[in-house]
Amino acid sequence: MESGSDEELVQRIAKGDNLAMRVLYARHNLRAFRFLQRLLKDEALAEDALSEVFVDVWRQAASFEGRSSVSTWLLAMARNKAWSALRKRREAELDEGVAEAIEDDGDDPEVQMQKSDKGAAIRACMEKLSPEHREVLDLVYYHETSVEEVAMIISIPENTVKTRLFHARKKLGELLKANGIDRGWP
Amino acid sequence: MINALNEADREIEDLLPFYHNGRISAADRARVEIALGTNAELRRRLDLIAEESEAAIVLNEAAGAPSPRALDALMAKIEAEPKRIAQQVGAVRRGLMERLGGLIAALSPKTLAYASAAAIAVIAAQGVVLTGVVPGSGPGSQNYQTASAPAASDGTFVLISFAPEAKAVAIADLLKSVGASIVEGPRASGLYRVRIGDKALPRPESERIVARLQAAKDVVALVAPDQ
Repeated sequence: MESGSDEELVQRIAKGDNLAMRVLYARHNLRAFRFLQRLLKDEALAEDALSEVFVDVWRQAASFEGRSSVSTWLLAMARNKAWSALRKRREAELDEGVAEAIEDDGDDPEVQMQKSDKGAAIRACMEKLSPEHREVLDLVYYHETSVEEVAMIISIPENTVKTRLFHARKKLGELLKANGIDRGWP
Repeated sequence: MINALNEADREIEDLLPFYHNGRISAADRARVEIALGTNAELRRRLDLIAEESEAAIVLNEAAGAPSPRALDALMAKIEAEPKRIAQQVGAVRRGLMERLGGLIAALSPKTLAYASAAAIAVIAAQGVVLTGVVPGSGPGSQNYQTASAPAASDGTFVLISFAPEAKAVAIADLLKSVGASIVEGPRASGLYRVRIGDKALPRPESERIVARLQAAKDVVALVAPDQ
């Protein structure tokens, strides 16, 4: 495996180094794909968006200034691609007269069945969260990002990161409670 | 039983997810640990965060991976990129040439003549700097002259750059129509020195001929007086 930091790889990519591109892809494709897939809930769309992200890396490597880590840069690009695709899909659904799914907090059969497995119930409720709330939970819990990194990726102030995370967790707690799992908070 | 947190502990609660994932500053970590040591409700909420974190990790790991062909498709797109960039550069270059051509066409013959003279002066100055030779100076300044032709310094001259697609016949016809003849060229810059009169023509007359030459846009790319 090629050595070199992510930043060095990006510098090599800026000079047209295909091998550096392959190494960077190998390092980051899985996490970037999962981030996309969790937002888009569509493997084909997620794979297309992933490809667009890395093509942008190829095109924009020379302008990467290192103000964030490469992984933060990648996740920010991935987020933009995902939200762009989500907006298109929402517009298409509205054009087709399909009403957006109305959140139903109570008695989800899937959650009810999983009451015996608290972890499974939490996962089922997480899946019912809005993309905005799923996104911030995934970034913090799975991608292990800091407040500053989430702020960069989502393009919101740091205080808003904390507020959004709080509301995502609160909503999750409410969903669990509505399905008979009271964790004592909120 | 739900225990409310005071404002200070609410701030700590906001830091708990980052304390849990390890992405917190040393100062905030210390604040959190002090608060956890004294507040059972905060410790309980940290346990809830651990549950949520575990659920998120399971969900993300279940999200799968891109197919092996994704990398091949990506590299194929990247392989096509230099061509695309080269095409863009070519388009920009063509656009610049078109704009330059339009700009030159929009200039009046007089303005164009002055602009061209200035450009030629710059080129000449560069030549002097590069070669250290000033025309008409130094020991080799006695230029070769034919016996039959008028001296190169006799007459009125212009410098012409012909259009790349101009045919020799069209060039000859144009020069004949204004009584002009090529006396030198092409120079490295692609310019020809053309005599438009055997003697020094009055300025209005030379400007008229320059205007006629410039009007033949399919034959002449640039024309400027040469003193």
